[in-house]
Amino acid sequence: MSAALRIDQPSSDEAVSVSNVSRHFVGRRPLFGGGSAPVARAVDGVSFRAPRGSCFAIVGESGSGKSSLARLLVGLLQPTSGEVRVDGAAVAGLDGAALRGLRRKIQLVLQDPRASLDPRMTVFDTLEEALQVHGLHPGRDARQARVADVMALVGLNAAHLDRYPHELSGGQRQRAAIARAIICEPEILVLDEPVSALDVSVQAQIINLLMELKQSLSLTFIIITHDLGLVEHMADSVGVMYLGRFVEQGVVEDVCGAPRHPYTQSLMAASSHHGAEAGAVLEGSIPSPLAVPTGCSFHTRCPAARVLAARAPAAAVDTPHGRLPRRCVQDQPSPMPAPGGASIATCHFADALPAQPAPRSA
Amino acid sequence: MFIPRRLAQALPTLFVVSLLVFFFMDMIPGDPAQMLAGPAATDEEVQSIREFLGLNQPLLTRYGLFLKGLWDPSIATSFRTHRPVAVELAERLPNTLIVAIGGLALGLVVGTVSGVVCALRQGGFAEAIITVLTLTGISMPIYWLGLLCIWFFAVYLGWVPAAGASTPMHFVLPILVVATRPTAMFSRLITASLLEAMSKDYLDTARAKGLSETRVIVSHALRNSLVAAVSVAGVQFGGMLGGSVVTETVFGIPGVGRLLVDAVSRADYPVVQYTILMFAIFFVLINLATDLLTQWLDPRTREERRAA
Amino acid sequence: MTAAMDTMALGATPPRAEARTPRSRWLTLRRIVSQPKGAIGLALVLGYLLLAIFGPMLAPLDPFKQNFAQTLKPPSALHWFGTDQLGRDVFSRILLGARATLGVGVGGVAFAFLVGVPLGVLAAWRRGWFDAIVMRAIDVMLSFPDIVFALAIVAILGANTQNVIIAVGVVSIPIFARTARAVTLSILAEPYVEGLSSLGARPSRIILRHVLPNISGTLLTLSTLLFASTLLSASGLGFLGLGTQPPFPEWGTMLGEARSYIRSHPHLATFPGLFLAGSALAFNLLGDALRTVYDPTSRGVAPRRSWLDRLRRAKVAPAGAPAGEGDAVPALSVRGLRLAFRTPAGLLEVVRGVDLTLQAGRTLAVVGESGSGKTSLLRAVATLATPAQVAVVEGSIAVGGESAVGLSPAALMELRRRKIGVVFQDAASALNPVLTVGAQLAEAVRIGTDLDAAAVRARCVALLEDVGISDPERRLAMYPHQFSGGMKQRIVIAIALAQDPQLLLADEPTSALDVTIQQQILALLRDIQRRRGMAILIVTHDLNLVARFADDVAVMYAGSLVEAGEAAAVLRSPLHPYAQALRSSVPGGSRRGAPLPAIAGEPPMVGSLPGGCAFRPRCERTRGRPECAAREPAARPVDGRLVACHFAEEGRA
Repeated sequence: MSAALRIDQPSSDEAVSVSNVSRHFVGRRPLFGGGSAPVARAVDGVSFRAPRGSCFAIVGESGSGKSSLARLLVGLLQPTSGEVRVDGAAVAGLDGAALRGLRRKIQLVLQDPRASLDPRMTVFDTLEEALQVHGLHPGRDARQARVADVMALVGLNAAHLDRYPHELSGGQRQRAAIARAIICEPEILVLDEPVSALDVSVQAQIINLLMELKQSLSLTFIIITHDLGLVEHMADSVGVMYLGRFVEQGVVEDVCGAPRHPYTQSLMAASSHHGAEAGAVLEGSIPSPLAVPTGCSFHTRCPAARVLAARAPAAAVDTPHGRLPRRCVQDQPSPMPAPGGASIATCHFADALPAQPAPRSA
Repeated sequence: MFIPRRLAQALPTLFVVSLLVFFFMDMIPGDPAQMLAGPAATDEEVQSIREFLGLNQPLLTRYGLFLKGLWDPSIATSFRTHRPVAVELAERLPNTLIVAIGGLALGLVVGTVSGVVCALRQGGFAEAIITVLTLTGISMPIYWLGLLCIWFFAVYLGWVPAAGASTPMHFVLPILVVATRPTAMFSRLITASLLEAMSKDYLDTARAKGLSETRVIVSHALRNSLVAAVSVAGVQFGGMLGGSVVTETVFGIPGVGRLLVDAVSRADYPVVQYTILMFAIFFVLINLATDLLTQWLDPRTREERRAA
Repeated sequence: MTAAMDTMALGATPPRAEARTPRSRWLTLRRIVSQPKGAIGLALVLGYLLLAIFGPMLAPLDPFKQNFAQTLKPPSALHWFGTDQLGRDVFSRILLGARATLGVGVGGVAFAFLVGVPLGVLAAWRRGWFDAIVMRAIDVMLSFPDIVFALAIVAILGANTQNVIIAVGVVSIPIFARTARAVTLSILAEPYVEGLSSLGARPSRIILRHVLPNISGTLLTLSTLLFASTLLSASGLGFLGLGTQPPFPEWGTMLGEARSYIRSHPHLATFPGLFLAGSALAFNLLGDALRTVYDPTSRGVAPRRSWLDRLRRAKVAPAGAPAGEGDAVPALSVRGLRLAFRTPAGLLEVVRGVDLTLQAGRTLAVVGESGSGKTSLLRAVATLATPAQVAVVEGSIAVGGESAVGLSPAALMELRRRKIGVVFQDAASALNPVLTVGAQLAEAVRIGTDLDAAAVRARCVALLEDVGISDPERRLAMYPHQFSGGMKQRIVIAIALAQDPQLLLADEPTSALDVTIQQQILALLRDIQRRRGMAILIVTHDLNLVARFADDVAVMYAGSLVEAGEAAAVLRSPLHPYAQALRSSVPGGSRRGAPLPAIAGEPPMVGSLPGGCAFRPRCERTRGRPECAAREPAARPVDGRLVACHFAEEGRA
């Protein structure tokens, strides 16, 4: 269980390891009036490791940088700094056959299956193409056999092979997208909001399918989601993202069961279905990644900081967002491992706050 | 903030345009000196005319003079009439503008009304009629329609004069005829953008407020169509300026388009060059105006575009 | 470059369109021909093409033979279209001219296509300096009027057919390049292209197998429409004497020659012009039909209401028959409501008999999946369902005791204004992007009152404060896009509250928002309800939201309520198998990692429901029991709630 905590030393049994990865987007410099180009810190110093066969979840709201992180993992984006290693090999600097070989190992499943399949290709064409790209199962007969196998794996039948995406239902489309991802026998699936575009009753089918496949094909999952219920159901470890950084990460039982960062606490309170009004409603909205607040980036919305400032007025300063502890406003917090548990919270006062038990597990 | 940037973008375009206009025209086959002198002229005569026109100077010098002519009209003169091109253009420009602006205004009014009717009466008789008319409108060769109208209204009925530009009545027929295309385009545009706007939630918001259907359409749906209409208006206005080449030939209007056609057939370089340059400047200005109007009408485009 | 620019605006459709992919080329053809304009256009285009190929062979007389005894003759049995100034047969000349005229169009478009499309696709793919140069070049070319540009090219190269093709082709290059670039960019931004890159597909494969097929529809449409305008430009040059040179006939050149005789011999201009206009019309018709096939924004025509439907309205119960109890009039009472979409194939029932009662101060959540009819129900209650699209087949809706069905437009407006407020799912599209927030709010405040400007403004400020927006004075002058999603939803709520409605309808008000913002909006709604005592009807798919926010819940499936009652009781121990499955299939419950109790199959399609109980095919409880197939279960009271299941009692834990 403490595997998730070793975020600094690489190890060979890790499917994915991410070390201090940042991705900054540089905007256009204003033509007149000088000033430097705005920099959006989409991902800012993120580290985590996903052991083989595990499921790591990245949780965040829109604008948290979780989608950029997913694209960094599959090599669609290159990191500004830091390193992404897949199966022990660094993604950066690869090209040609080596890069294609690596891409075979890590596949991406997107949120909206309608948009993630080419509307002009039948399911068969889409699946066959994946094999052709990697030169697997040469010969049309061999490819047909492999396609048929995979269709059975994801619960589609032969009748679906000649259909176009728009002729499938939402659930069937997502099954086809999953089939495309697993047909080249990858080791890792990056799932970007895999069920949030689906109907509730279909979501459960797809979640079950994914869990079955993870077992039978020994896959490693990286799930990007905003749904803490999904995280609790599927993931072993989780990283909670806010403005490009992990504010809390660790094993799911600890992070979701006893969140230590005020942001995680608010998220948990917001998504549990027991006990209405559990926890304070978080004020304001996520700031622009072009203007990340100083100090702790969460200080503009942090409910705990306000309580702490009231408790210790001497160490507090006035800000546009109210009176807050000086450290929260001025110093960037460093990761604080939990005393006994298996989680890390990036909060100055992680240990000063009462670890709120999540209402759900109560 | 926006206007200076937009102007800064337009200047290099205009510079390249001026280069193109000058050097392309220089490639026109046929020696203007030879043409002016006539077939019977001796080589010496042609040579002296060439010197008089400054055609024997180096290319870059002539380009410099071409640009200088923009500030000093007296050095930019027609090969044939020897009058400054600026004067020639100034005499004819009003005729061209009257037809273009008149046609645009007429097209805007008639097109908008028929577009609204068409959008509101989907599936009805009016829609079918308007669809047929607009499709015919954009398919109509203006020069043919012009000829038919001249025959019918000027010759057969005798209501309006057939050619020329001496009285306001002379402009009635040309304006009616050139308005065909903008009318059809506006009608189709307004129909399409209204139908699109009809599916937007904000119309439901407006209805839920308790506004009447007329107000919902005029102050919400049509207000949004305006943004698209402005850019089409810009394109249409430019189109009619260019189309003056043809319409002025049909209706015998002494305008800029006619001047250009005549100048091309007579190898009158300065007139061709400055006329095309004037058209290009008009186009760039129209685009600028369109952009500014769009900015004003659509606040979303006013913001600085943010990367990342 | 005008004529063509018009076309460009039409051609540059977002390629999302192609989601409606035809199954085969033949289907595309069928779709074209099934539209009148497509059938006529295609027939005409084919006719013209045959004319271009066989025209010269069909000419009854020698098109070049001059006969000075027979000049400028009107149409006759021998000379169907008369003779020209040199006594040549106009009909024969038109037949011969078809090839030159249409050939110039085909050649020009092909030239522009072959140069412009690769440039545009490459610019979109490479981006960077190549894109910048292409875009600047397009800017420069678009700075000349197209006919003037073509005129200049012909003047440089000399007037003949080949140079006219180059001239009109060059003029269209920027149109093709710009459109190809735009559609390629949007295809490249599609998630499936991202998926292909992550799969490891080479750029050449992505362009050839995925981008080109997907932009082909748009480019085909554009080519067809451009063909019409190219034809007109080319003939315009001919008209000016700068096209195909005499004596060879071309329709534009023939018109140019006819100009001198328009006063005395109008027939000379009539026939070439007719053929020219006809060919442009043919291609415009076909292009329009193609656009309908490939463009998603061109919508099908809404079916007109037939007389039968109008009669049907009579069946609707008159004024809102109140709920029955003598006490307070409910804020909302829906009785036996049946709604149907009007489709070309007839009425399609989406709401199949729904009863709801909502008292003031309470919150009722209608829960269901896509296609359950929940949104149609809400729109009908909001009186926003367009009669041309949705028919109230049966039943009544009463808001605060007033019937909302079968009213005149004016009475509907009045009812909406006074009693109903609506909050939409997507606040971004619920606000008009081009009007300030203040203007939109003021409109809602002012309607039906005679407040002066200052009073309206004061009320707007108060409303914004009510929904928790600070600095309201300044915010009134701002535009919707300057607000975050949560703030926009607050503004939509303020608009809904402007006339103090008794009933607030909310359609998935938080599902487009982040979780922490959802909580803010729900807290706000609850706070407003407490202060104003209004009733809230909320439509959602989110059971967490129901548990935290609603007093009552109604679970909808395939247009009917399957279970309705107090939210706490229904969620704690649902009785209907669908409600049960819905609750237990939400992840995050107790059994971590274990398979979720999923409902088999997919939500049913409207209009293809099974006989008997609509949930039967997915139900575990039915186990082939004949009752389930025999008749549709009616909602009946079980354990203090309404359940529509023959075996509801079996759901007790």
